Amino acid sequence: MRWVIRRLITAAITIFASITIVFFLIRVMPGNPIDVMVAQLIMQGLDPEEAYRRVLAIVPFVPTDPLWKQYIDYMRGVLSGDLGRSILYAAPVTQILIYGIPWTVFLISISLIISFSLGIVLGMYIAYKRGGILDRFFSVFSSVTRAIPPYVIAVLVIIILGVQLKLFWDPYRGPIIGPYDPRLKPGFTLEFISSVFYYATLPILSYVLTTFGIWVLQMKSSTVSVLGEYYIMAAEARGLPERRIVISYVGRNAILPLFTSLAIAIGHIFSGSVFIETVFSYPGIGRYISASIGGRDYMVISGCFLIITIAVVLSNLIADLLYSKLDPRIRFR
Amino acid sequence: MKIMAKVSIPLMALLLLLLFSPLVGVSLAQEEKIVFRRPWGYNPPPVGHWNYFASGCLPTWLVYEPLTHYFPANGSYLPHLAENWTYEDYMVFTLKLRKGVKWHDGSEFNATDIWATWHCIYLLKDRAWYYLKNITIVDSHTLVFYMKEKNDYCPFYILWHWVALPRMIYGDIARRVYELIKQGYDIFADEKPFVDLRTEMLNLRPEKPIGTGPFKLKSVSETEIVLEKFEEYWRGVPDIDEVHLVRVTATDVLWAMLSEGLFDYHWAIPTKEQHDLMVGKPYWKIIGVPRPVGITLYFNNRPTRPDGSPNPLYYKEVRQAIAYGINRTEVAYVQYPAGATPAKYNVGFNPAGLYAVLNQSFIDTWLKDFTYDYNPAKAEELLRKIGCTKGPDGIYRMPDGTKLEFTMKAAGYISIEAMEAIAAQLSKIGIKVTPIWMDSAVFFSPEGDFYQGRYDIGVGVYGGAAFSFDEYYHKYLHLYPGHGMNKIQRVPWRAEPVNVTELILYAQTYPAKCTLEERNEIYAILSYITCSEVPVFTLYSPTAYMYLNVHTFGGWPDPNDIYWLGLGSYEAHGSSYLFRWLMIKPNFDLTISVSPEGGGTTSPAPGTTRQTKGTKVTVTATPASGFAFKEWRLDGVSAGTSPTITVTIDKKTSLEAVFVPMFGLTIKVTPSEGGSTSPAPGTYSYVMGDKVTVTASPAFGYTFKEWRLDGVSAGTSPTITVTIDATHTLEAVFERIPYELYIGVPVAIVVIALAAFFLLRRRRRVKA
Repeated sequence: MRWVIRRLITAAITIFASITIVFFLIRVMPGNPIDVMVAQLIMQGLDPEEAYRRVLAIVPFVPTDPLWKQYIDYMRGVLSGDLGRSILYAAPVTQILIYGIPWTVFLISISLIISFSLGIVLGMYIAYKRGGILDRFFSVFSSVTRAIPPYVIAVLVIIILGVQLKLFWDPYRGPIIGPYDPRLKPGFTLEFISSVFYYATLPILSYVLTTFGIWVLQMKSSTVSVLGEYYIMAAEARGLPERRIVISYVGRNAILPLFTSLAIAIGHIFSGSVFIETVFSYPGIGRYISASIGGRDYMVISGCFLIITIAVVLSNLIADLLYSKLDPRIRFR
Repeated sequence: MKIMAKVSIPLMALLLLLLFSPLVGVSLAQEEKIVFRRPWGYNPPPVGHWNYFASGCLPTWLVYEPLTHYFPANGSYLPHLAENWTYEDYMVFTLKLRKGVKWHDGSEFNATDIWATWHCIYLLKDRAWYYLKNITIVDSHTLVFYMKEKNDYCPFYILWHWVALPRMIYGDIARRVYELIKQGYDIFADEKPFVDLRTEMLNLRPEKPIGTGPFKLKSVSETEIVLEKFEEYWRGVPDIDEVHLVRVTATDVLWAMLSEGLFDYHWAIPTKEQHDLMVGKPYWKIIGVPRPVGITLYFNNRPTRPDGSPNPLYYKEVRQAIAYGINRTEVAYVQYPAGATPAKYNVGFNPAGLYAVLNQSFIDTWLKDFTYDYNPAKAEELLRKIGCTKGPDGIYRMPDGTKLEFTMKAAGYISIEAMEAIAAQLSKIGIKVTPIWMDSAVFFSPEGDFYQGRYDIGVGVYGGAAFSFDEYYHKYLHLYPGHGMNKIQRVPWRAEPVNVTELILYAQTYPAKCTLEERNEIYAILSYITCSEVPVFTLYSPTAYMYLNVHTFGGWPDPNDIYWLGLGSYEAHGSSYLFRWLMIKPNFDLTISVSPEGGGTTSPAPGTTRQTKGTKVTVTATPASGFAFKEWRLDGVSAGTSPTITVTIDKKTSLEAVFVPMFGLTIKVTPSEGGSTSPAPGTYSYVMGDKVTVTASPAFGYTFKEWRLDGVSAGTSPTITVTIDATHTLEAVFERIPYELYIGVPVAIVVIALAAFFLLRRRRRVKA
């Protein structure tokens, strides 16, 4: 129990430190939201005085307090659930997050389940068949897909499956992008739900293609090392059924090292996939992260990173707690 | 291994299900609507909203309307919501609004709306309010804008820059603005009541926009904003049912969709690869116009650099050498392979405004030598003229030994490749330039390097987004002190030196103090100084392209129309003109066919063409040999028998020219001298089903005997009607009446008569 309390305190400190670092880090980035908007107007041809005046007129909130005061106000707000207001969008950050998070969690969690499941099954399979054609194919395929940037995969997926092959193609609207068919009214209807899944297919496919390779390679490596263990030989020598060896002896032991990665990946569900969401016009928070960084929207950046930090820290904590259940050799001290 | 197979099978099935989910996905039949689609970037709700004044406002492109349409090419305004206006002595602007215009909620558009709009604009501290004193409503459709001082600035903003917004949304805020002004508060002093009211206004989140435009909001989603036609639009009901503003965030996907013709219009400054995707596609017509803003090099003209070392750029010859050493056409191509226009004269403002203030005679006399066409030999000659010598490293040195080495700072407007191209070109003439790429927010901030002149060569823009000429030089007012140009200059046609800063300030008093002639003279002086002294060096402006889908829609203005020149800026206002004036109309298929095949032809030839709604198409049918034109069938319904028909296109239309084969009817007379027929004997062509009536008339001495149709007796009546169902021969058979009868009968009568006469006479004698 003491271990759990210690871990909880560590998690809280981690979150606090992370919020603090992010708060100051983004504020030392060159430029500020006003300057970004002024620069945009100047580049459209306005003189700086005019541009500055226009921006100040339309930006409702300008952080002019000293940095330490902004920090205290921000921390006070965080503790009371108020993450501030977006400077560029003039909307509460919590409202933006509440809108974006469900879409991101939906998209990335499904993708992660498929990616992880496919990765461990294929990883084990090619570990058993190492040296074979499938091993070579998936090793190369995994490395290649892992190496290609996600936005490239996403664009290729749209252009090949959407524009070229017209598999994901609305004859009128073109390739299927967005969260659901815009002609439908959101609601708890079969039509709407099936549309949401249909529209999520390509983003999920893009995410799976870019991530499952790493699971395959990790699982293969882990399985190969487990297969060399004496207890596997002993289990085989004892004539245990293959099913039991694969699940209880190989699978359960080989998957253990992947749990840490999975925990981190679960935490990162909240960060979404910035590029994939951008390419697919998906309304998750990944999209707001990229837009807010470009516009130096401090409050939105801080809010997004706060959620990600909490999610990653908590998922790691849960993974630590579950680890002892999965691996009896590990005990709390 | 079986277990892995068992696990992997459902997983693969799930993935396959996802992959092939188009088969199970929703399929909504596309309504038969005329939809205009164009890409548009926006932030969907909840971030995006409908408050016109706050950042993040969703596109109100066709919902709200400006009061006129402005043609920057000739400076004219076309009345729209504003029916007419007067500007008395540059002090009293009287605006008469059109009557009968309705807002999307059904209420009437009137002067209160414009009054409310402009009082909300006050909260934005818009520059027009520097000049505006107050606005009064004269009657329901007339307002007067009173000025504090003479200016020619406000009309542009009243008539074109700002749109008409509804009192239903902004009226309350406007009334409170008015009350605060009456109480003596001033927005320009940032007094708290106004600051609070401005915050309140910016936080307004109307449920939807209410405009007067031809389209009103229907729905907004992550991927598209749907606008539907406003049935009560004052110019008439639009021909387009819906306008879809489609949000595609991935550029590659957007251009892939564009290249497939999935949109009806797009405005862009494309890369060459993007532009090439569109060139040659039959459905895209492409129009390019130079943007009114372009790229300019700004020199640090101070005698010394910030570190105190001598600054070679202080010398005009060095700046001119740089100008001659840059091949602007080549650099323009590097940055904008799809198209860019190098500036012809180094006047320091938008070339489009050149002839607005400078006449050809002035240009030919004073500016012709300052086009700075690429001439590396002349560049080196200029350097040598001031005593520069080339060092062993190939770089020129000033007589004091200072190397011609400069940094070139830029942030966002010029491309890195273009900067490198400039550096490479200048290295050929012995000038070393090191490009430095900076963060735009830092570089262009008012306290940043650009506006504080902390550079050797800085890259910025010339021209302006607006069309107000004084904005161009307003920039110079900031830049001349900023980059160290001496404000006292000379021009050859004036004996006395001129003070550039004073001239600019004085020009801005036009029309209050400065006259038009004086202003143009000032522009001429500033143009000459900029050309000759090269405090800045104008490079090129990119070409903005309009991609018009001529397959789906028609009614686009002619490519040479001056309208297009206005789309280098104010694109949304500019392109809305096409819809506000109901110019854009859908194209429909007109399918012309002939029946039967080979029965004839048409002009225009049979086939399917795209015709714009309302077009009148005249089609002429010409039968083939052996056929005759029978009739037109318009959408399957008989539409006339004249070989020429004019069809007005208002939907998808099919027009069929029906031809029928011709059959011969040969009429003969037997014997040939036995009589005649009507029509006369001969061979005639008739179409199937015709009924031909023929009458036989015997000649003297003959009598009609019978008709023979194809050799078979067909009646003895002199008139016969033949139904044409094949080629026939109709023979009129006459027979001669024997001539003996003609002579014998009269002779017999005479003989009998004579005999009777003599017999009667003899009896009388015998009695006597």
